[in-house]
Order: sequence, then C-alpha cells, then structure tokens
Amino acid sequence: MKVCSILITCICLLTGKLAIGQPPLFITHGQIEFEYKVNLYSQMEGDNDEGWKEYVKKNLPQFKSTYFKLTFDQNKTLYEPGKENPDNNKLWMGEGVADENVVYSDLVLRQSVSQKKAFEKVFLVKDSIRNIQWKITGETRKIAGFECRRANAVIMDSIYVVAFYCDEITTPGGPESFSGLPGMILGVAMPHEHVTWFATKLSLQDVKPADLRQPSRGKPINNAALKENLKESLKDWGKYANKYVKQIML
Amino acid sequence: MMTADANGNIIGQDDLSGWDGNYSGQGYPLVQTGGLHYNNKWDGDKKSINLNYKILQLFVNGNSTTNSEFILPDASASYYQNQHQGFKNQILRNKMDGVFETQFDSATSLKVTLGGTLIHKITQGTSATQSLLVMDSTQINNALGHTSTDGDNNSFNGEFLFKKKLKKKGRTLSVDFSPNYNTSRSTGYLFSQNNYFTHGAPSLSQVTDQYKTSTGSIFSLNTKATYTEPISVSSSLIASYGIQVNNSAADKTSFNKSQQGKYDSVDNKYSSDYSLNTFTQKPGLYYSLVKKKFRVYAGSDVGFSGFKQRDLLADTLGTRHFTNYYPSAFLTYNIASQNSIWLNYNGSTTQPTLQQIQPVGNNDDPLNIAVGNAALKPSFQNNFRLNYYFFKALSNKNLWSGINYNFTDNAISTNSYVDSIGRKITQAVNVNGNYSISANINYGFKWKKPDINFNLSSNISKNRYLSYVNSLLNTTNSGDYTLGLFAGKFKEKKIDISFQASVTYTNSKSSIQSSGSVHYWSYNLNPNADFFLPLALQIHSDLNYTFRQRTSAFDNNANVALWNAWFGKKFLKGDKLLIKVSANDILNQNKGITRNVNSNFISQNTYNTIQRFYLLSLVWNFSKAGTDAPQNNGMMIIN
Repeated sequence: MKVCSILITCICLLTGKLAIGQPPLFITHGQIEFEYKVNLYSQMEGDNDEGWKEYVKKNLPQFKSTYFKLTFDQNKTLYEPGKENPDNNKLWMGEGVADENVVYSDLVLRQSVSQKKAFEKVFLVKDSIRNIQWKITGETRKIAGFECRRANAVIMDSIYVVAFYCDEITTPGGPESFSGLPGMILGVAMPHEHVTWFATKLSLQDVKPADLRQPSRGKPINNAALKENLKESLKDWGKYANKYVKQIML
Repeated sequence: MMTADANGNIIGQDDLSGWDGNYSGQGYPLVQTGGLHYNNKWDGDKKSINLNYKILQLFVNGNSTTNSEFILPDASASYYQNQHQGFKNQILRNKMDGVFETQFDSATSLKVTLGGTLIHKITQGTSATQSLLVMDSTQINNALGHTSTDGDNNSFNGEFLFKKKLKKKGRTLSVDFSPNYNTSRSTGYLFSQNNYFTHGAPSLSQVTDQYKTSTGSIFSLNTKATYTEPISVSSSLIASYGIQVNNSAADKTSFNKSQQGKYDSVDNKYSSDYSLNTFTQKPGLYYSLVKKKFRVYAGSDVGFSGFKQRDLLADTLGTRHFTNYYPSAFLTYNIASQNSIWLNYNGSTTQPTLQQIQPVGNNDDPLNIAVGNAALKPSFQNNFRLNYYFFKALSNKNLWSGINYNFTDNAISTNSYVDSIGRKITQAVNVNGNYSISANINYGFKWKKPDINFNLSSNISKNRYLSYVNSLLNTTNSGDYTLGLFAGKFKEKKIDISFQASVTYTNSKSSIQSSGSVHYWSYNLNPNADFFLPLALQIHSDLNYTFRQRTSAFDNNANVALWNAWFGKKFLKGDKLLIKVSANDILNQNKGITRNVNSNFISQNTYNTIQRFYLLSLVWNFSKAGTDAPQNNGMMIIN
C-alpha cells in the first residue's frame, strides 16, 4: 500500500512536471520582437569622400537598432513598429526609409498589404506575396532560445539573403516580406546591404483577429507601379537612387 | 591702441597702415606661395597627426577714389568729400600648424593643436582729399597725406582638448585649455598737410611730420570645463565653467622733427603706453531634451569680468567690473521627416570698449577726431529666429524659409559733429530703438515633362538705425528687397545649363534730411553652361551681368558683364586629372566698385582691380580613396 502510494505520487509528480514544465511542441500563434540593425558606417561605402566618412565615424555610433513586433496566427502575420529606441532620436544621420513599415501577410491567399513610408509619401502596397526560391542548408543556429536552420536565396535579382527559420513555430512567415520556409523566420541578414533582423523574444499569447488587422493608410499602389514611381522621382540622384529604391521595395 | 570686447578679449591693435595683410580685391596683386602637408595614422588608427607649413609673399599696389556725401541737418552745411588714394604694400608670412589626436581608449581622447605665424609687413600709402559744400561747391578743406610702416607681428597659439565618457551612459566631461601669445613691433612715418577754408578763404593750415614707433604684446589664456549629466533617457543637463585671462601692453611713441632736423622730439599728445589686464569667469548651465518629434536646448552663460587699465605715462590706474548675460533657447519641431520648424532666441551683452569711453590721442587722420564718453552703458542685443523647411524627395519640392528679428536696448551708436572747417568729431552714445528684420523664402520645384528644375527666392530686410548728427536725433530707415528666379536642366555626363536672374530695390531715408532719400534698382543676370563632349572633353561658360541704376549721389552707372569660359580634357581613370585653358573676364569689364548707403552718409569707392586674364591649369586629385568624380546632384538624407 505504502509502496503503491509512493509510486503513484512519484508518477503523478513526474507527469505533473511533464505537463507544466515543457513548452508546447508546435507554436501556432504569438508575438515575436525583432531587432532591425543597420550598420551606419557601411552605408557610406562607395563614397569617395574620406574626410566626410572620418567625420561621420567620429560622431555617429556604428549601429542603429529599431524594434518591430510580429504578431502571428496559423495563417496570417502582422509586422509593425515596436517599442521606441530613444537613442535613435539623437542621431543626426541615418534615417531609414524602412523604419515605419507595417506589413500584413495572408500566407494562405498569398497576398500582402504593406503600409510603407517613402520620404514624404506613404504608400499602401497591395500585391501578391513575393515568391522566394530558398535553398535550405544544414547549418543551424540558436536564436531567442530556438534552434533555427539556415536557408539562402537571392531576391530582387541581385540581393543575397541569409535566413534562419525555426520549425517549432509552424507559421511559414517572417519579418518584412520574408516568408515561404517550413517554419517561422527568426533571423534575416543581407550581408552586402549590411542590415539584419533578429528575433529577441517570443511571447506566447492569444491572438484575436482584431490583432491582425490590415494597415489602411497611404496611396494604394502595387509593387511594379511603386518601383516605376520611385525610379522616376529619384532619377537625378545617380547611384544613391538604387540604394533607396532597394530599401523601399523590400 | 588696443580695444577689448565684452569678454575681455583684446581685439587687435589698430596700426598706422590700416592693412590686414590680405588681398581683398583692391589693386593688383603679385603672389608667391608654397606649402607642405603631412599626415599619418598609426596604432590601429588610435593616433593621428596632421602637419602644415605655408609660406606666402604678397605684393599689392593700387589706386582708388572715394566719393562721399555727408548729409547734415542744416542742408547748407552738407558737403561732398572726394578722396584719391594710392597704396603699395607687401607682406611675408610664414605659418606652421599641427594637430595631434590620440584615442587612449574608447572613452578617452586628447586633441592637441599648435600653431605659429611670423609676419613681416611693409606698407606705403598716399592720399589727396578735398571737401566741397553741396549747395555751391565752395571748398571747405583739402588735405595731402603720406604714411609708411615697417613691422613684424608674431603669434603662437595652442589648444589642448581632453574628452572623457564616464561610466554612466550620457555622462561626459571635457576640458579645453588654450594659450595664445602675440608680439608686434613697427616703425613708420606720418606726413600730412591740411588746409581749412572759411567762406572760401584760407583760414587754418596744419602740417604733421612725425616718426612713430610701436611695440605691443598680448598674452591670453582660455580654459573651459564642460560636464554633461543625463537626467533621463532623453534629457540631460550641461554645466560649464570657464576662465579667460588677457594681459596686453601697447607702447606707442610719436616723434616730431627737432631743431637739428631729426625725429627725436617726443610728442606726448600722440604717444601712449598702456597695459590692460582682464580676468573673466564664465559659468553656464543648459538643459537638453531630445525626443522623436521635438528637441529643446535652453540655458545661459553669465560672464563676470574685471578690467584693469594702467596708463604708464600719466601713471594712472582705471578699473571696471561688469556682468554680461548670454541667454539662449533653441526649439525644433519635426512635423514629419525632412519637414521641420526651428525657433531660436539668443541674447548677449556688449560692453562699451575702452576706446569708446576714453580714447587715446590719435593724429593719424586730422579730419576724424574721436572723443570719449564716460557715461556709456552696456547694450543688450536680442535675436529671434524662426525657420521652416521641408524637403520632399519624391515630389521634387523643397522649401527653406526664415524670419529674423533683432532689436537692441541701449545700442552704442555715434554722435557726429562736423565743424565749420569740415572736421568730424565723433563720440559714442547709447540709443534705444535700433532694430532689424529680415525674411527670406526659397522654394524649389521641378517641371516634370521637360525635366527642368526651378527655384524662386525672395529676400526682404528692413532696418532702423538711430544716431545723432550735430546733436540732432537722426533716424534712418533702410530696406532691401530682392526677388530671384533660377531655372536649370541637368543630364548627367551630357549637359548642365542654368539661368539665374534677380532684381533688388534698395532705399534709405534719413529723418534729418527729408528731401534726401536714396533709392535705386539693381539687376543681376547669370547664365551658366557646361557641355560634356565625347573623349572626356568639357566646355564651361558663365556670364554675370550686374546693372546698377544711377542715383543723385552716384551719377555714373556701374554696369558690369563678367564672362568667363574654360575648355578642358579629363585624363586617367575616374577623371582624376583635368587640364584646362580658361579665360576670365573675356569682355574686360570688371570694375572695382562698392557703395555704402547709411544714416547721414553715402559713399562710392572705385578702385583698380584684376581684369581680363588667361590661365592654363592642371588639376590632379591624387587621394587614394574614391573612384568617381563627385556627382552633380548626389544627395544623402541628413536629419
């Protein structure tokens, strides 16, 4: 009797531990905080004014971090600006064109609605989700406590992208317009553009449909028309135009 | 005589030559100059050094004519003054400076700047002046003068700037220590003959024939410590404390010709031996707040100064103590990105100079005599500025606008008294009511179809200036109104043409002379063209046409059409070498002319200046970095 009760208690404790201590095997909804980091010094590469580069390096920090949050359920994601970084207000240079993006993606219908601020205008870009040809590799890395696998791709004909996705989070989405991997993308790096997005934490929370509303501000446009519009307006900017068009079209 | 400003800083020493050692457009220059530059970085870029040496020899010869009109309350006493001047000056300047910077660690740095300049200056000047009454051209005085000087001026300066970031984020300390030392010595001759007339008949004649010597030295030390303490993630307090020490001495002696014909008779009236020591303490406190939508920076510096002046000839000592305030506030509001409003206020105290309170006897110009005013009060200047700007990259529109309002309490102005023989006696006095307002707008946009950039600009300024003429209050209101237009078309590596035009209306009215208000129009046209041809050839041409209307005071037009052009070819990868042939002022029309219209005085100065010339130039950019020639319209977003 005594042995039986001890055994039962032990089994109960063990199963209790199993029930409370371990996280769910697959995550289908929640919110992820991303840190978007830009290397400000590398943005000046290609400039031939050494004196200006020296001056900027002395008076500006090397990296600028902006925080975003990605709210997701099984089929939809909403990526929008997160907590404010007060240090960014002190910067006198390095204002990003992608700092206030709001991207809503319907991963089943393969449609996205993005609210993008480009200089003085706000555009509401409605288009199909970008089809990215990912090549999954064997390399893994831990991000925000999750084991992630690496995948590489080339987008917009010339930009090399490295992404890390985690199959424990089943939604096939990610920050900005990155999606299409068998799991949530928790890290993205574009080495030649010197920018990265990395998840800093995940909070498991209930996600109501109201939390995933589409953005609505801005002039409605699609990707092709937006690219034309930008190229036309910035054509006097020479090589700087390409840099800004790439950042906005992401 | 040295003068000191409100902070106790010694401002130069006026000398007999009246030349600052630079070519400023008057006369014909001959320049020989060369230099050396060295710079290097080591220890992982933590240490760097930058050294420069420059030698310059400049000769300037020239002639000029100044025609002025002095308007007096009693119109019958108003007179014209015509002056012809000639000068022959030269200067030899050796200058060396170096900057050494070291980064001890990521939080501590030191920057040392040292420099020295050795100057040898020789000047010669002659002048012939005549003054005539406006109403009937009766002569009231004429004068002939000749001055020559030969002097040395050597100065050494240094600055040590130490900066440290302390443990807490945003907490910083910086200390600046700057010593300066200057010595000068010169000798010269002053000869002048002045003849005065009453009702057209000679009444008084003066001859001055003197040898003058002068030696001087200035030692100053400026130190300042600044401490920044963060009080939240977005705000901080900045406290500073500074000490300024200035010790200077100036010994000037004038010698008249004695019986033996030598210059050895000391003229005490025009000799002086002064020493001036000033000590200033300057604490300051400012608050800074940086948020996404707005920024605030406000606070004030206060200066506590003590002056000690010793007259070594009369064996007297004068002391003064005063307090100066420098409040300022700066506010920025960002409506959107590249779309902001800026508001700025700053105030400052200006103390009367010792020269205004108690001038030293000076006979350099017998037609201009200065008298002191011991009752002078300090003036306080208030300056408000409001700016609004936006830059719309996608719509190709930009605007820059601003308003500036400045008014002064107890401004230090002048009371001029002209005696019957045309000598002007000036005294500094306080006035209330001086102000100036200026506004400008600059709007740029693009006409999409033909791809032409336009820019409209407008500039308005209005001033009120009070002074006393023959003890009568004279209020002068003057205004300047300009409208401008720019149009340009740019196609990279093909063509860059533009056209700029502006029209200005100037007017000035003095209360003591109700009939005499001066007003005139001037126009300016400026076409500009660059053509980029195959085989890396480039042709450039620009024309600047200025038209000035005749006025009663200036009865000759001063219209000038300056046309410059050059033709060149670029070589080497990245267009780093340019060889060009250029012609300046092809139509040979450059005239040296400046006009001055204010209170009771209008003048026009015409002088000889460089005219048409040709150049063959070789420009080679051999810096290691960079591949492209600078873009014409490249832009970066700078917030």
